[in-house]
Amino acid sequence: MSGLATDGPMVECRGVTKSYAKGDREITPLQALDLEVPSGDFLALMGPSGSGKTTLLNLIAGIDRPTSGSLKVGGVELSTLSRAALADWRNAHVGYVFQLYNLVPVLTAYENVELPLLLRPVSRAERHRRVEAALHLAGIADRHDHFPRQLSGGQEQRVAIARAIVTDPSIIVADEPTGDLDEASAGAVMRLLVDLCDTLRKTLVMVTHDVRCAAHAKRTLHLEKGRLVGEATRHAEGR
Amino acid sequence: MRQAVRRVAVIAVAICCVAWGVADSLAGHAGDRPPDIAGMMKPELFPGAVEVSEAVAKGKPGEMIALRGHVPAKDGFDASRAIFRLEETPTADGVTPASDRPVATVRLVSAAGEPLKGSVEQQQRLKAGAEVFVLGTVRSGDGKAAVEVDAVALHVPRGGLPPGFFLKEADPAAKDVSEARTQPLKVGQDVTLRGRIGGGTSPFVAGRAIFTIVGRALTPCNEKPDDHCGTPWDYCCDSKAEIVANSVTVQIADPKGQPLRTSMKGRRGLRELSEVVVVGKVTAVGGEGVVVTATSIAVAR
Amino acid sequence: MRLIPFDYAVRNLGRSPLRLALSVGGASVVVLLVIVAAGFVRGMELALATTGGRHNVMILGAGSEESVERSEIPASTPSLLEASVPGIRADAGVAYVSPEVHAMMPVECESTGAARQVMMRGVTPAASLVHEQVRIVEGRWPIAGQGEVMIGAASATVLGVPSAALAVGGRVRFDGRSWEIVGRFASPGTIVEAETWIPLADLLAASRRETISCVIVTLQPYDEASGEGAEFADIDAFTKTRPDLELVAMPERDYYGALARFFGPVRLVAWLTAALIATGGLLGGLNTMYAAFASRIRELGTLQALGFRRAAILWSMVQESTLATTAGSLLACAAGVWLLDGVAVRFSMGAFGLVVDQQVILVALASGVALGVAGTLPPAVRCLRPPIPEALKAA
Ligand SMILES: Nc1ncnc2c1ncn2[C@@H]1O[C@H](COP(=O)(O)OP(=O)(O)OP(=O)(O)O)[C@@H](O)[C@H]1O
Ligand SMILES: [Mg+2]
Repeated sequence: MSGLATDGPMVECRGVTKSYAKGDREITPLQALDLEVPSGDFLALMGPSGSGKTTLLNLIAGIDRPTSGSLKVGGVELSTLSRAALADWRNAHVGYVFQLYNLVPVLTAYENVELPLLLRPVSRAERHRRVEAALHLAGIADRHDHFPRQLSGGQEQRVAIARAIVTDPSIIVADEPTGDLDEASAGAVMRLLVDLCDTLRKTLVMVTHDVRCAAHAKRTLHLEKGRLVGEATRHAEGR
Repeated sequence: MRQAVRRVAVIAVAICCVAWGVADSLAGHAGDRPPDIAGMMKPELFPGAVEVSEAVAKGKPGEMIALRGHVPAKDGFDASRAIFRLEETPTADGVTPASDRPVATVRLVSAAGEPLKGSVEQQQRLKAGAEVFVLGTVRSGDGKAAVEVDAVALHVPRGGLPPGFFLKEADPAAKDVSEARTQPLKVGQDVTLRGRIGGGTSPFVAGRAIFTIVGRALTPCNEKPDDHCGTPWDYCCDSKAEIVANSVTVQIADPKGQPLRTSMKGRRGLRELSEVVVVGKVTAVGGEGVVVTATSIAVAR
Repeated sequence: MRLIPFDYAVRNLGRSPLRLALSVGGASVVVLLVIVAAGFVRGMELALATTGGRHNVMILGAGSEESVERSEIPASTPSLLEASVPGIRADAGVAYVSPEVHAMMPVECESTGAARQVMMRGVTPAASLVHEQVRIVEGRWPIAGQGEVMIGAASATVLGVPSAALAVGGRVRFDGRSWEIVGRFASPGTIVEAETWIPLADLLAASRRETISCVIVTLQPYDEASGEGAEFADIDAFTKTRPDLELVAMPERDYYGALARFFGPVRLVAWLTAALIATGGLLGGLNTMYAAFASRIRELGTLQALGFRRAAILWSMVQESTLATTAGSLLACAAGVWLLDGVAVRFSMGAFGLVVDQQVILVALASGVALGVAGTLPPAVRCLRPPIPEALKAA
């Protein structure tokens, strides 16, 4: 379904630099960064505010482009894709989970999850089946006809996660998915993500400030001033 | 939703196609009714239409051409197909025996290029002796005596000019209108007058064989230096009284004295400021106006 | 390109009832003004276009083709025409040949003192033959030499007085004399209704002239089989046989149709006013829409992140506001049909009614749609411009 090459790392960054020209000053949130994320990995990105975590995540998710360097996701060189091709690629291969859920307020939970599927040549019945399955996996099937304003933050994030997985993407990126949640909801959301990673064999890259969240990941990388610092921390394998 | 719309559209198109087909086949098998040529008929003549002899001499296959002529008195129409013949309109002077006149064969064809079925005789004023204007493409021609034309449009004047109305040669003894009008003209008087078509913004009348001509005593605006008048034939630099005193109205009339129901503009190159020699009779004098009913006209070069 | 469901656009309308009310209300006000302008122009055009009989030809003085009031032709013209042109319609030996004088004159309504320029038409009984549209709705035809006039149904509008002030039996003043109103006539949808008709002899005396303005004849339609009847060309040819009379012939409808061109500047002003008001409305709309879209930038970024093309999102936004303005336009059209259609307006030639017909409705709806599109594109494009990462950070 995903159509991406399964051998080789899912994400492969080689000398990725991202810089913004601000007048005569240049800000470089990412500096010659090398990173590999193998398929099926659950990677947590940590680091102080402004260290470039979101920037890196956006590059991997194909909603931004590196200034220089090579960035391959699933074997596809993203920097060579056109704007339109990148949009189609995103729709087919990436699930994005946002800190603030970013659900469309005028659509119900069901319709929000259905949204990315509308871009696919999928029949209505097939769409229905997939949306229900995604809502079920995210544990929010009972609230499918509720609007976002009728849901709690944790529930909203579940809907957002359902929306991220409904297209069966090869990689899921999440930017502080628990940043706005209380501890209990945060724990539940993290367990859901871990489950998805395990059962659906998805590659997951997550940015977080919370060490307890990072603890759920298979490995954690630290970013500081646009560079990866220190060694990746391996967590207990038997988790 | 989108699929439903598409399905409805497809069905609608299909229904239209079927309806079209049925209508088409009905029309195609409607028996031996005369061909429907009303759509080809135009209310006005085609200005600059050439005589049959010129069409024969110059018409090249594939070219568009406008020609005029008369349907011969005998054997003018094909009995079963929409084909008729036009022969050279004889002039009042150079008389040619009918057998030597150049002939144009006019075909009214279907979209497929085949002549329509049924004779067109007595259709839309087409009949033996009728004056006919044809606009069409030359199909073939021998360059000498015959040409074949596929018509796209026809005009048959309601009151066609009689054959032999135009003269080849202008009478050199013709009097200029201005000169003739120095003496009062009387009803019944025979005249041969030379003048230029003009005397108003529209000296012709669309659909009627009538126009006004002006004598040499007046100069049209375009022959005056520094004049940029768009309608120089209206002699607008002269007073209306002056124009009336130097002009006559020329008409080609039916037996009742009413102008024939056909346009003169565009025939044999006639247009505003064309110089003509008119042979005819004064038939009316009203106030300062004089009407000459013409029996023949020569276009002076 | 895959589009965003129409539903999304519809539901977005419900986000802010206040904004929806503003868009719908604003659009309906603007469109109503467009309807006034279009109804005015259309009413004037239609009144001029339908004035005149289908088989009528007007013979007037050469050079006066644009205003018959200036025309002077010999009083002998009607009899000449009758004698020279076969095919003029005749009933029981009476030919449809109407000699007329047209003159603009200041007319005063005696009961109110209101005075305005009125188109006066001096007529003989033959006028009732050639002007088939004219019907006497009250009273009778005026008799020459008795100081009598007949007024058109729109006269009250022309003079700016209540219609009771011009009832049969009332009096008007012109040429320093008082005249009795003995009849009222209607000629629906034409500008003839704004005229005052008086016997030809009386008007000739009042305007101290011997010439008439024009002759109007009704032709018997030409029949090819019998050769009976006449066409415009026959009258045109007649004028050529008498160059000394300096006549021109025009189909009566063409004469009034040409007047429409003469009023081009008036139409321009009407359209310009409507355009200015529409521009004002548009600027207000732009502001509202910008505020609405700016609060949605993060959502717009999300849709792009999910893979929707910007053009698809833009289309949805255009649908959204066009829906609102179209609803407003429909309200305006309904109001236009109920309230504006037929409302009488004065203009220099007389009076006519505003016309709200299919064409005006079409113009109104089109301007509503244009308002929606033009009001959406700039703010929508602006809100779609930030790169996705920036949009996702928006408040
Ligand atoms: N569009 C931009 N123009 C200029 N500078 C930018 C832009 N986007 C990000 N930056 C800069 O890049 C740097 C990295 O930003 P980024 O959002 O990746 O940080 P972050 O690690 O996600 O921080 P936080 O933990 O606070 O979310 C910051 O210094 C920021 O100011
Ligand atoms: Mg961040």
